Amino acid sequence: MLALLLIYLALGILSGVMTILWTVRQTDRPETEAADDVCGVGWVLDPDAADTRLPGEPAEVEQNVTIAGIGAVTVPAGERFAAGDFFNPEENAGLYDMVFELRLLDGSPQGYEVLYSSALVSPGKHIYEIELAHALKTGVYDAVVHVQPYRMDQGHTRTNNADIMTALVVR
Amino acid sequence: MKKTACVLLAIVLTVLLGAGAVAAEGAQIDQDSPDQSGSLNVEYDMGVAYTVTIPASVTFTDGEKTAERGLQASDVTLPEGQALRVSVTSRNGFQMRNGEDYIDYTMKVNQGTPLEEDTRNVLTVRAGETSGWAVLDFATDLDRTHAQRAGQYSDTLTFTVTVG
Repeated sequence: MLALLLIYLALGILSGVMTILWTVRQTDRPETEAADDVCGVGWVLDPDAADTRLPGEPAEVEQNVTIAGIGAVTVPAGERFAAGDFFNPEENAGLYDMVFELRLLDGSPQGYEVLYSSALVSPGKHIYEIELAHALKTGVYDAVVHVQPYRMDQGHTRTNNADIMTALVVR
Repeated sequence: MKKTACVLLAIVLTVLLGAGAVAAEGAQIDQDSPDQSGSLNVEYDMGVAYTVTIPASVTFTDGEKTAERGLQASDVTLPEGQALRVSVTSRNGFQMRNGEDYIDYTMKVNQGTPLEEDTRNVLTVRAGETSGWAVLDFATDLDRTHAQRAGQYSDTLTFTVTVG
């Protein structure tokens, strides 16, 4: 009986000592190692991990387009060749070609009829005489010159554009 | 020789003096004209002129959801009492579109309230002023977005210039 008691006592003391030793060992471990091992199974957080990074390169600001004012377009009654000045300013050199379209405002569902459309006009160039789709009777007509710039890239892509309100004078 | 030259010079001078002055409309004034003076109209027709500089494009990225662009009118010459006005129209009602999908964006003028109508005057230059400018502030509105597909979303702005 006494022997059994002694054995139980020895086992109890031994387990107590083991517990103390294990606890001491845990507190002696480096903090980082203790903190990183969040699962307690040896996994650590990757020091290279970072917060969400948005696309860093700022969008390139494209150069503005310079549009020249356009005065009245004049044409003799019954004729198709009209005088005007459709001009692509020098400031667009190396950047934008332009297409000019003369639209007669007519109240149709589309709102206008196209009387003339140019091909690409390079910077520094003018178009002084245009051929209308058809002749008109004497009068002053509301018109708009739609100016469409095109980038000088491979695709000749379009940019924002401008509508220049003007008059078509037929006399 | 000298005598000949003098005679010739005298003849030339006489012819010149006798030719008389020519007034406007081709009238001729000589020593017998009742009115010894004429007038000449000197005219130059100064037409309407201006240059407008518009933004070619505005680009948004995941990292840049706002953008500022300038709008300028320069070298402005207008008849008295008139003004140059620039208004802006969005083809898609201030939506960048990709098929049926879209991303809303807003445009403010000179830090004012966002444009709610498709067309609104953004710049005015009056006769006597030679230039004007406006600051256009663009921003995407992700709370009003319906974008399900990847790809490029775009819109086109038309700047309408009117003088009157």
